[in-house]
Amino acid sequence: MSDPSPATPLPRALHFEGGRHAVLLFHGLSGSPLELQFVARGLHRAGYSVHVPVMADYTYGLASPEGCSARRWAELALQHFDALGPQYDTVSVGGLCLGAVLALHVGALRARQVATVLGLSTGLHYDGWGNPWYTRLLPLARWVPLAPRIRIREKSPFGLKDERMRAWIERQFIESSQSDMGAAYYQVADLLEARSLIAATRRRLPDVIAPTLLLHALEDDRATPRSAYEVAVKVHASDVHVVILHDSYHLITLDREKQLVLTEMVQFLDHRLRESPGELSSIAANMSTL
Amino acid sequence: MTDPENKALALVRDALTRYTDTPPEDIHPETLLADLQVDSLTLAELLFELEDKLGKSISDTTELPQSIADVMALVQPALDA
Repeated sequence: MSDPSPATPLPRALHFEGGRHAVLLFHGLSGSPLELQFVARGLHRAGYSVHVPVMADYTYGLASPEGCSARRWAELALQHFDALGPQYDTVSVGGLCLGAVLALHVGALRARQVATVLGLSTGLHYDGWGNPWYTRLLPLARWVPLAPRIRIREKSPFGLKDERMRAWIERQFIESSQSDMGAAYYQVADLLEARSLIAATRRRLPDVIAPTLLLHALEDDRATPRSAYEVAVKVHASDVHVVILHDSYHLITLDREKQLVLTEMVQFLDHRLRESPGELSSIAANMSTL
Repeated sequence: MTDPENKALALVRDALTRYTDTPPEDIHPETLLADLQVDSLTLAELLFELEDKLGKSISDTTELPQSIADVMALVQPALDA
Protein backbone atom coordinates (compact mmCIF):
# COMPACT_ATOMS: atom_id res chain seq x y z
CA MET A 1 0.00 0.00 0.00
CA SER A 2 1.54 3.33 -1.01
CA ASP A 3 2.02 6.03 1.60
CA PRO A 4 0.53 9.51 1.56
CA SER A 5 2.82 12.50 1.37
CA PRO A 6 3.96 13.72 4.80
CA ALA A 7 1.83 16.88 4.52
CA THR A 8 -1.40 14.95 4.03
CA PRO A 9 -3.49 14.20 7.11
CA LEU A 10 -4.22 10.53 7.56
CA PRO A 11 -7.74 9.38 6.73
CA ARG A 12 -10.11 9.37 9.69
CA ALA A 13 -13.15 7.27 10.46
CA LEU A 14 -16.55 8.93 10.11
CA HIS A 15 -19.12 8.46 12.82
CA PHE A 16 -22.51 10.12 12.94
CA GLU A 17 -24.63 9.27 15.95
CA GLY A 18 -28.31 9.07 15.08
CA GLY A 19 -31.11 6.65 15.88
CA ARG A 20 -31.29 3.06 17.11
CA HIS A 21 -30.64 1.64 13.64
CA ALA A 22 -26.98 1.75 12.64
CA VAL A 23 -25.36 1.47 9.22
CA LEU A 24 -21.76 0.26 8.93
CA LEU A 25 -20.16 1.24 5.62
CA PHE A 26 -16.80 0.11 4.20
CA HIS A 27 -14.96 2.22 1.65
CA GLY A 28 -13.12 0.71 -1.32
CA LEU A 29 -9.59 -0.76 -1.30
CA SER A 30 -6.87 1.90 -0.87
CA GLY A 31 -9.58 4.52 -0.56
CA SER A 32 -10.81 6.57 2.37
CA PRO A 33 -14.07 7.15 4.26
CA LEU A 34 -14.47 10.40 2.29
CA GLU A 35 -15.68 8.30 -0.66
CA LEU A 36 -18.78 7.62 1.41
CA GLN A 37 -19.16 10.92 3.21
CA PHE A 38 -22.10 12.19 1.15
CA VAL A 39 -24.24 9.09 1.68
CA ALA A 40 -23.10 8.73 5.30
CA ARG A 41 -24.24 12.25 6.13
CA GLY A 42 -27.45 11.74 4.19
CA LEU A 43 -28.28 8.54 6.09
CA HIS A 44 -27.56 10.39 9.32
CA ARG A 45 -29.97 13.16 8.34
CA ALA A 46 -32.54 10.43 7.69
CA GLY A 47 -32.16 9.31 11.31
CA TYR A 48 -29.59 6.53 11.13
CA SER A 49 -26.38 6.16 13.08
CA VAL A 50 -23.57 5.71 10.56
CA HIS A 51 -20.03 4.43 11.01
CA VAL A 52 -17.38 4.37 8.26
CA PRO A 53 -14.21 2.89 9.76
CA VAL A 54 -10.61 3.09 8.68
CA MET A 55 -8.69 -0.18 8.60
CA ALA A 56 -4.94 -0.71 8.66
CA ASP A 57 -3.48 -1.99 5.37
CA TYR A 58 -6.84 -1.42 3.67
CA THR A 59 -7.44 2.33 4.03
CA TYR A 60 -5.04 4.46 2.02
CA GLY A 61 -2.02 5.53 4.06
CA LEU A 62 -2.65 3.33 7.11
CA ALA A 63 0.03 0.65 7.11
CA SER A 64 0.80 -1.84 9.85
CA PRO A 65 3.71 -4.25 10.35
CA GLU A 66 1.37 -7.13 9.56
CA GLY A 67 0.89 -6.03 5.95
CA CYS A 68 -2.17 -6.46 3.79
CA SER A 69 -4.10 -9.71 3.81
CA ALA A 70 -7.62 -10.64 2.84
CA ARG A 71 -8.00 -12.60 6.06
CA ARG A 72 -7.06 -9.54 8.13
CA TRP A 73 -9.45 -7.25 6.24
CA ALA A 74 -12.29 -9.71 6.81
CA GLU A 75 -11.43 -10.00 10.51
CA LEU A 76 -11.40 -6.24 10.94
CA ALA A 77 -14.73 -5.87 9.15
CA LEU A 78 -16.28 -8.45 11.48
CA GLN A 79 -14.76 -6.73 14.53
CA HIS A 80 -16.33 -3.42 13.51
CA PHE A 81 -19.71 -5.09 13.07
CA ASP A 82 -19.49 -6.94 16.37
CA ALA A 83 -18.50 -3.74 18.18
CA LEU A 84 -21.58 -1.90 16.89
CA GLY A 85 -23.99 -4.76 17.55
CA PRO A 86 -24.56 -4.29 21.29
CA GLN A 87 -25.05 -0.54 20.91
CA TYR A 88 -28.00 -0.51 18.48
CA ASP A 89 -31.27 -2.29 17.79
CA THR A 90 -30.10 -3.26 14.32
CA VAL A 91 -26.94 -2.92 12.26
CA SER A 92 -27.00 -2.86 8.48
CA VAL A 93 -23.76 -3.33 6.59
CA GLY A 94 -22.73 -1.93 3.23
CA GLY A 95 -19.83 -0.73 1.18
CA LEU A 96 -18.42 0.52 -2.08
CA CYS A 97 -16.55 -1.72 -4.53
CA LEU A 98 -14.38 -4.09 -2.44
CA GLY A 99 -16.10 -2.56 0.59
CA ALA A 100 -19.32 -4.12 -0.73
CA VAL A 101 -17.52 -7.46 -0.86
CA LEU A 102 -16.50 -6.99 2.77
CA ALA A 103 -20.12 -6.16 3.60
CA LEU A 104 -21.30 -9.36 1.91
CA HIS A 105 -18.63 -11.28 3.82
CA VAL A 106 -20.00 -9.91 7.09
CA GLY A 107 -23.53 -10.58 5.83
CA ALA A 108 -22.61 -14.24 5.32
CA LEU A 109 -20.73 -14.77 8.59
CA ARG A 110 -23.26 -12.86 10.72
CA ALA A 111 -26.29 -13.91 8.74
CA ARG A 112 -28.71 -13.87 11.69
CA GLN A 113 -27.51 -10.53 13.04
CA VAL A 114 -27.16 -8.36 9.92
CA ALA A 115 -30.34 -6.35 9.33
CA THR A 116 -29.75 -5.47 5.67
CA VAL A 117 -26.88 -5.49 3.15
CA LEU A 118 -26.14 -2.50 0.90
CA GLY A 119 -23.85 -3.26 -2.07
CA LEU A 120 -22.63 -0.20 -3.99
CA SER A 121 -20.70 -0.93 -7.21
CA THR A 122 -19.97 -4.40 -5.87
CA GLY A 123 -16.61 -5.58 -7.18
CA LEU A 124 -16.76 -9.34 -7.73
CA HIS A 125 -15.43 -9.06 -11.30
CA TYR A 126 -13.05 -6.33 -12.44
CA ASP A 127 -14.32 -6.48 -16.00
CA GLY A 128 -15.14 -2.81 -16.60
CA TRP A 129 -14.19 -0.98 -19.77
CA GLY A 130 -11.76 1.38 -18.00
CA ASN A 131 -9.39 -1.23 -16.56
CA PRO A 132 -5.93 -1.46 -18.16
CA TRP A 133 -5.62 -4.51 -20.43
CA TYR A 134 -2.85 -5.98 -18.28
CA THR A 135 -5.13 -6.31 -15.25
CA ARG A 136 -6.33 -9.49 -16.97
CA LEU A 137 -2.86 -10.93 -16.27
CA LEU A 138 -3.25 -10.31 -12.54
CA PRO A 139 -3.87 -13.99 -11.64
CA LEU A 140 -0.37 -14.78 -12.97
CA ALA A 141 1.29 -12.21 -10.73
CA ARG A 142 1.22 -14.48 -7.70
CA TRP A 143 3.78 -16.74 -9.36
CA VAL A 144 6.02 -14.06 -10.82
CA PRO A 145 8.87 -12.97 -8.51
CA LEU A 146 8.58 -9.33 -7.38
CA ALA A 147 5.31 -8.86 -9.31
CA PRO A 148 3.35 -8.16 -6.10
CA ARG A 149 5.51 -5.06 -5.66
CA ILE A 150 4.41 -3.59 -8.98
CA ARG A 151 2.14 -0.57 -8.79
CA ILE A 152 -0.74 0.03 -11.22
CA ARG A 153 -1.48 3.68 -11.79
CA GLU A 154 -5.04 4.97 -11.58
CA LYS A 155 -6.08 6.37 -14.93
CA SER A 156 -8.85 8.54 -16.24
CA PRO A 157 -11.83 8.46 -15.86
CA PHE A 158 -11.00 7.47 -12.23
CA GLY A 159 -14.44 5.92 -11.80
CA LEU A 160 -16.16 9.25 -12.42
CA LYS A 161 -18.52 10.29 -15.19
CA ASP A 162 -18.77 13.81 -13.75
CA GLU A 163 -16.07 15.59 -15.73
CA ARG A 164 -15.64 18.36 -13.16
CA MET A 165 -14.98 15.94 -10.32
CA ARG A 166 -12.73 13.89 -12.59
CA ALA A 167 -10.65 16.99 -13.41
CA TRP A 168 -10.43 17.85 -9.72
CA ILE A 169 -9.17 14.38 -8.81
CA GLU A 170 -6.76 14.34 -11.76
CA ARG A 171 -5.28 17.64 -10.62
CA GLN A 172 -4.73 16.24 -7.13
CA PHE A 173 -3.08 13.11 -8.57
CA ILE A 174 -0.72 15.22 -10.70
CA GLU A 175 0.19 17.53 -7.84
CA SER A 176 0.72 14.91 -5.13
CA SER A 177 0.20 11.36 -6.47
CA GLN A 178 -2.87 11.10 -4.27
CA SER A 179 -6.29 12.58 -3.75
CA ASP A 180 -8.65 12.91 -0.82
CA MET A 181 -10.19 9.67 -2.02
CA GLY A 182 -6.96 7.71 -1.93
CA ALA A 183 -3.85 6.68 -3.80
CA ALA A 184 -3.00 7.29 -7.43
CA TYR A 185 -1.63 3.74 -7.50
CA TYR A 186 -2.77 0.26 -6.62
CA GLN A 187 -0.23 -2.27 -5.39
CA VAL A 188 -0.46 -5.61 -7.18
CA ALA A 189 -0.04 -7.27 -3.76
CA ASP A 190 -3.26 -5.55 -2.58
CA LEU A 191 -5.11 -6.60 -5.72
CA LEU A 192 -4.03 -10.22 -5.22
CA GLU A 193 -5.41 -10.12 -1.67
CA ALA A 194 -8.59 -8.57 -3.03
CA ARG A 195 -8.94 -11.56 -5.36
CA SER A 196 -8.63 -13.88 -2.37
CA LEU A 197 -11.32 -11.99 -0.47
CA ILE A 198 -13.61 -12.03 -3.51
CA ALA A 199 -13.13 -15.79 -3.98
CA ALA A 200 -13.86 -16.50 -0.31
CA THR A 201 -16.91 -14.22 -0.32
CA ARG A 202 -18.30 -15.67 -3.53
CA ARG A 203 -18.32 -19.13 -1.93
CA ARG A 204 -20.28 -17.75 1.01
CA LEU A 205 -22.89 -15.73 -0.90
CA PRO A 206 -25.62 -18.36 -0.34
CA ASP A 207 -25.23 -17.73 3.40
CA VAL A 208 -26.45 -14.13 3.03
CA ILE A 209 -30.12 -14.01 4.02
CA ALA A 210 -30.62 -10.34 4.95
CA PRO A 211 -32.59 -8.06 2.62
CA THR A 212 -30.07 -6.89 0.06
CA LEU A 213 -29.90 -3.68 -1.99
CA LEU A 214 -27.52 -3.60 -4.95
CA LEU A 215 -26.80 -0.33 -6.73
CA HIS A 216 -24.63 -0.47 -9.83
CA ALA A 217 -23.94 1.78 -12.81
CA LEU A 218 -24.58 0.36 -16.26
CA GLU A 219 -21.43 2.08 -17.51
CA ASP A 220 -19.25 1.18 -14.50
CA ASP A 221 -15.68 1.51 -15.78
CA ARG A 222 -14.20 -0.93 -13.20
CA ALA A 223 -16.78 -3.66 -12.70
CA THR A 224 -19.78 -4.27 -14.93
CA PRO A 225 -23.23 -4.93 -13.43
CA ARG A 226 -22.42 -8.64 -13.84
CA SER A 227 -21.10 -8.47 -10.26
CA ALA A 228 -24.41 -7.18 -8.91
CA TYR A 229 -26.40 -9.72 -10.90
CA GLU A 230 -24.24 -12.56 -9.59
CA VAL A 231 -24.82 -11.44 -6.01
CA ALA A 232 -28.56 -11.09 -6.66
CA VAL A 233 -28.74 -14.66 -7.98
CA LYS A 234 -26.52 -16.32 -5.38
CA VAL A 235 -27.62 -14.81 -2.08
CA HIS A 236 -30.48 -16.56 -0.32
CA ALA A 237 -32.24 -13.39 0.76
CA SER A 238 -35.94 -13.40 -0.03
CA ASP A 239 -35.75 -9.66 -0.61
CA VAL A 240 -33.17 -8.52 -3.17
CA HIS A 241 -33.51 -5.15 -4.87
CA VAL A 242 -31.22 -4.24 -7.80
CA VAL A 243 -31.04 -0.66 -9.05
CA ILE A 244 -29.13 0.06 -12.27
CA LEU A 245 -27.89 3.63 -12.64
CA HIS A 246 -27.65 5.23 -16.07
CA ASP A 247 -25.55 8.36 -15.54
CA SER A 248 -22.58 7.28 -13.39
CA TYR A 249 -19.39 5.24 -13.55
CA HIS A 250 -17.88 3.27 -10.67
CA LEU A 251 -17.75 5.81 -7.81
CA ILE A 252 -21.51 6.18 -7.54
CA THR A 253 -21.31 7.88 -4.14
CA LEU A 254 -19.43 10.81 -5.69
CA ASP A 255 -20.73 10.81 -9.23
CA ARG A 256 -23.69 12.44 -10.95
CA GLU A 257 -26.33 10.26 -9.33
CA LYS A 258 -25.10 10.34 -5.73
CA GLN A 259 -28.39 11.89 -4.60
CA LEU A 260 -30.32 9.05 -6.26
CA VAL A 261 -27.98 6.55 -4.58
CA LEU A 262 -28.71 8.13 -1.21
CA THR A 263 -32.46 8.23 -1.86
CA GLU A 264 -32.52 4.53 -2.82
CA MET A 265 -30.54 3.61 0.31
CA VAL A 266 -32.82 5.60 2.61
CA GLN A 267 -36.00 4.21 1.02
CA PHE A 268 -34.68 0.66 1.23
CA LEU A 269 -33.68 1.00 4.88
CA ASP A 270 -36.83 2.87 5.90
CA HIS A 271 -39.05 0.22 4.33
CA ARG A 272 -37.22 -2.75 5.87
CA LEU A 273 -36.41 -1.29 9.27
CA ARG A 274 -39.11 1.23 10.09
CA GLU A 275 -42.19 0.37 8.08
CA SER A 276 -41.96 -3.43 8.54
CA PRO A 277 -40.55 -3.76 12.02
CA GLY A 278 -42.14 -7.17 12.69
CA GLU A 279 -39.20 -9.18 11.37
CA LEU A 280 -36.72 -7.14 13.33
CA SER A 281 -37.44 -8.56 16.74
CA SER A 282 -35.54 -11.76 15.95
CA ILE A 283 -32.60 -9.75 14.58
CA ALA A 284 -32.53 -7.61 17.71
CA ALA A 285 -32.58 -10.77 19.81
CA ASN A 286 -29.71 -12.22 17.77
CA MET A 287 -27.69 -9.04 18.24
CA SER A 288 -27.58 -9.75 21.95
CA THR A 289 -25.65 -12.96 21.18
CA LEU A 290 -22.69 -11.01 19.79
CA MET B 1 -25.48 42.59 4.64
CA THR B 2 -26.98 43.56 1.31
CA ASP B 3 -29.82 41.61 -0.25
CA PRO B 4 -27.55 39.84 -2.78
CA GLU B 5 -25.20 38.90 0.06
CA ASN B 6 -28.10 37.47 2.05
CA LYS B 7 -29.20 35.46 -1.00
CA ALA B 8 -25.68 34.13 -1.50
CA LEU B 9 -25.36 33.19 2.17
CA ALA B 10 -28.72 31.39 2.12
CA LEU B 11 -27.67 29.42 -0.96
CA VAL B 12 -24.33 28.43 0.55
CA ARG B 13 -25.92 27.50 3.88
CA ASP B 14 -28.51 25.33 2.15
CA ALA B 15 -25.87 23.47 0.13
CA LEU B 16 -23.63 23.03 3.16
CA THR B 17 -26.33 21.19 5.11
CA ARG B 18 -25.48 18.15 2.99
CA TYR B 19 -21.76 18.34 3.79
CA THR B 20 -21.43 19.43 7.44
CA ASP B 21 -23.14 18.87 10.78
CA THR B 22 -23.11 22.57 11.63
CA PRO B 23 -26.61 24.10 11.83
CA PRO B 24 -27.18 26.69 9.08
CA GLU B 25 -27.76 29.47 11.60
CA ASP B 26 -24.22 28.91 12.93
CA ILE B 27 -22.66 29.46 9.50
CA HIS B 28 -21.59 33.07 8.92
CA PRO B 29 -19.51 34.86 6.27
CA GLU B 30 -16.47 34.88 8.55
CA THR B 31 -16.73 31.13 9.28
CA LEU B 32 -13.68 29.26 8.02
CA LEU B 33 -14.31 26.16 5.90
CA ALA B 34 -11.64 24.36 7.92
CA ASP B 35 -13.68 24.96 11.07
CA LEU B 36 -16.61 23.24 9.37
CA GLN B 37 -14.24 20.32 8.58
CA VAL B 38 -14.70 20.93 4.85
CA ASP B 39 -11.79 19.09 3.18
CA SER B 40 -10.83 19.71 -0.43
CA LEU B 41 -12.99 16.87 -1.79
CA THR B 42 -16.00 18.21 0.08
CA LEU B 43 -15.23 21.71 -1.17
CA ALA B 44 -15.23 20.39 -4.73
CA GLU B 45 -18.59 18.68 -4.17
CA LEU B 46 -19.98 21.87 -2.63
CA LEU B 47 -18.83 24.10 -5.49
CA PHE B 48 -20.16 21.69 -8.12
CA GLU B 49 -23.52 21.53 -6.34
CA LEU B 50 -23.68 25.33 -6.27
CA GLU B 51 -22.81 25.39 -9.97
CA ASP B 52 -25.67 23.02 -10.72
CA LYS B 53 -28.08 25.23 -8.78
CA LEU B 54 -26.85 28.44 -10.42
CA GLY B 55 -26.45 26.98 -13.90
CA LYS B 56 -23.11 28.78 -14.14
CA SER B 57 -19.47 27.83 -13.58
CA ILE B 58 -17.94 29.07 -10.34
CA SER B 59 -15.32 26.41 -9.59
CA ASP B 60 -12.82 27.57 -12.21
CA THR B 61 -10.87 29.58 -9.67
CA THR B 62 -7.13 29.68 -9.08
CA GLU B 63 -7.37 30.33 -5.34
CA LEU B 64 -9.39 27.93 -3.27
CA PRO B 65 -11.93 29.56 -0.95
CA GLN B 66 -10.96 29.55 2.72
CA SER B 67 -14.11 31.02 4.27
CA ILE B 68 -17.84 31.22 3.69
CA ALA B 69 -17.32 34.81 2.49
CA ASP B 70 -14.94 33.48 -0.20
CA VAL B 71 -17.60 31.04 -1.40
CA MET B 72 -20.23 33.79 -1.34
CA ALA B 73 -17.91 35.92 -3.48
CA LEU B 74 -17.87 33.16 -6.09
CA VAL B 75 -21.64 32.76 -5.96
CA GLN B 76 -22.68 36.42 -6.04
CA PRO B 77 -21.70 37.31 -9.63
CA ALA B 78 -23.70 34.34 -10.85
CA LEU B 79 -26.70 35.49 -8.83
CA ASP B 80 -26.40 39.04 -10.16
CA ALA B 81 -26.15 37.93 -13.79
